[in-house]
Amino acid sequence: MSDNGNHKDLLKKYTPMEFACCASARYCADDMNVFVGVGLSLLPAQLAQRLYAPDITIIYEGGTIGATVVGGLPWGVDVTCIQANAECHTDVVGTLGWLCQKGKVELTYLGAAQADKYGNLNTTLRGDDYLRPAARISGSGGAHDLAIGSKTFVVIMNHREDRIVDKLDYRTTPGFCEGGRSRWEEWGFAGGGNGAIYTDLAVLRPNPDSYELEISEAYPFTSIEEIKKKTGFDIKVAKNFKWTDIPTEEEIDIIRNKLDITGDYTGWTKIIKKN
Amino acid sequence: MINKLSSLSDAVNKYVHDRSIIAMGGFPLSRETPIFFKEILRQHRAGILNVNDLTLVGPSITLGGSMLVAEGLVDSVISPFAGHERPGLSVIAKEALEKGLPRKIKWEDESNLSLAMRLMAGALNLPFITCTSGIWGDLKKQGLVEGMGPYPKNIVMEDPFGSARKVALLQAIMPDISVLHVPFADIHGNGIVLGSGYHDIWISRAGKNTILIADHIIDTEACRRYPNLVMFPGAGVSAVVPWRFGAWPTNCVGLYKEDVDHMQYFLKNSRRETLQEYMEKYVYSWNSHDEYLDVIGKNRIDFLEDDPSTVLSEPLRPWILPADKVAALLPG
Repeated sequence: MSDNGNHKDLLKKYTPMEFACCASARYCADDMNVFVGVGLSLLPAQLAQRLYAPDITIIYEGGTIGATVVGGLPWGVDVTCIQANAECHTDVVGTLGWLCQKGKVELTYLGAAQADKYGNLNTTLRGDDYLRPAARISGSGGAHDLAIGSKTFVVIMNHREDRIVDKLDYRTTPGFCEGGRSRWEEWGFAGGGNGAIYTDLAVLRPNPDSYELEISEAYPFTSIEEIKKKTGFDIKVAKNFKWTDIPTEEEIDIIRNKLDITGDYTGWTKIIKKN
Repeated sequence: MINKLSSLSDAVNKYVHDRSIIAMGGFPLSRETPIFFKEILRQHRAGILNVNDLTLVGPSITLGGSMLVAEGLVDSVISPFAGHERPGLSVIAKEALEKGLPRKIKWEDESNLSLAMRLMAGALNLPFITCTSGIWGDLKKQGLVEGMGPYPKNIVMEDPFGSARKVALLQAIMPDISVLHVPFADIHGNGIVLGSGYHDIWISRAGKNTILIADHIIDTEACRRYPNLVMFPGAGVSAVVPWRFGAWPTNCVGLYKEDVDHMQYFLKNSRRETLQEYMEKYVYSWNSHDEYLDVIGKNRIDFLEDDPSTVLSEPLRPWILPADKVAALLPG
């Protein structure tokens, strides 16, 4: 791959969210307890389970542990096709309280509407008035709790100037809080914080000293200029920057034929005619 | 033990009052109690229940809670989530929060864990409880619900035993009514749950009165055979309402799947231009349980009952009491 990216022709074969899902799925390793949230974050753990890490234990916040989904991608974390074959059912105090807060969750997938430069997340509202938000979004769900206790969490979200921002409209979920070591020294949170944000353009990871997000990887169809232009703060390029690997045939086959059959999550049916 | 079976109309009429704090169990797609909220609306319209300014507590505001908001009966919400997961956000809750229509509502944001902990405090009759969740960010700021906490709502304190860790003091929630859906309950109020527990243990224990909506009434012998499946002991339950498909369009694990098509249909019809027509059919048009099931439709029910989770309920099905026997046990 060239040094400048901008291989727009790749977008005829893959969607940006397929890049995000495949790249974030590679984060999973066997023997991990992996916590999965609502929406697009349901996809990578299941891709990993089928491809790289069959022995991960997937935990859903409602209390379902060790389930393999029956059928395609579920509409939520509490659907019957997940709950039908769990190894164990507990509740939110068991999952978010015990397993997560006691450091037994290695990896959590989250979604977000906004992330700030320290990897803190907003999933609650847009606008500057809590009492009359410009747009109400979902709320925390379990994200706030998972971000505190999970050994690491990764985020899948869209990359726009008003999404990757200097300051959040609402601080729902802690990443690296006020930057530096504040997450641990000021707030004493047990987990390791935000490991990576997989956007539809790039992978952002924290600088090991300042804990400010940097462009760690970029998908080869875009460019550093485009990413900087679509970021709401002056984002730096990481020292060990690389272009993200193109999704493999195997990954794409599983996404399109097993998981996201309708294309609702990744949008692949908009670029490829379904057989 | 006494027979706690109640008709739906009696349970709503007896326990729901003006300004009640109502906590609902379940999760956005699972084991919610829309039927209980529909009955509040029906009695309100009929003029036999005069209530307003309700406070709703629960995992989310979805179909039932949204309709109460749309009818202007809700003052406050305490919840970590404002929608149905992937089917979409509550159109009605959004309109109330963003535009103040049909009236302004107050919303206290929680995380799933902080909500469970506040209810746990309520269940244990403690005034507050500690939790790491809620010490950072804006979740701690919005204490809006009158009588339920000062502003800012979470007080952050350092461990007095010297670990230097910070915790949030979360104020207890003690609902007037906790209403939960179960696949099976006996006449004494022993409620069996299959699948995940969500916030339900603490919701069921926090309420002054706990009401179960049950798809099926079972012989108490089933509870004696599988006592560890009883999540809600009858000793703490005030009333049991037999109402098959009461959780619809959310699922009831072990019996039927979530009706995602209907949730999307509801969201599509949640604007004021179309909502009234929707509610006429799904809230007001029926006058008996059989008519309610007809509104859902037999084909739809067959489709929803064709579900992989039904394997979980197999051991309990032989203990289901027949409808005529349940009818004979209902008071009145």
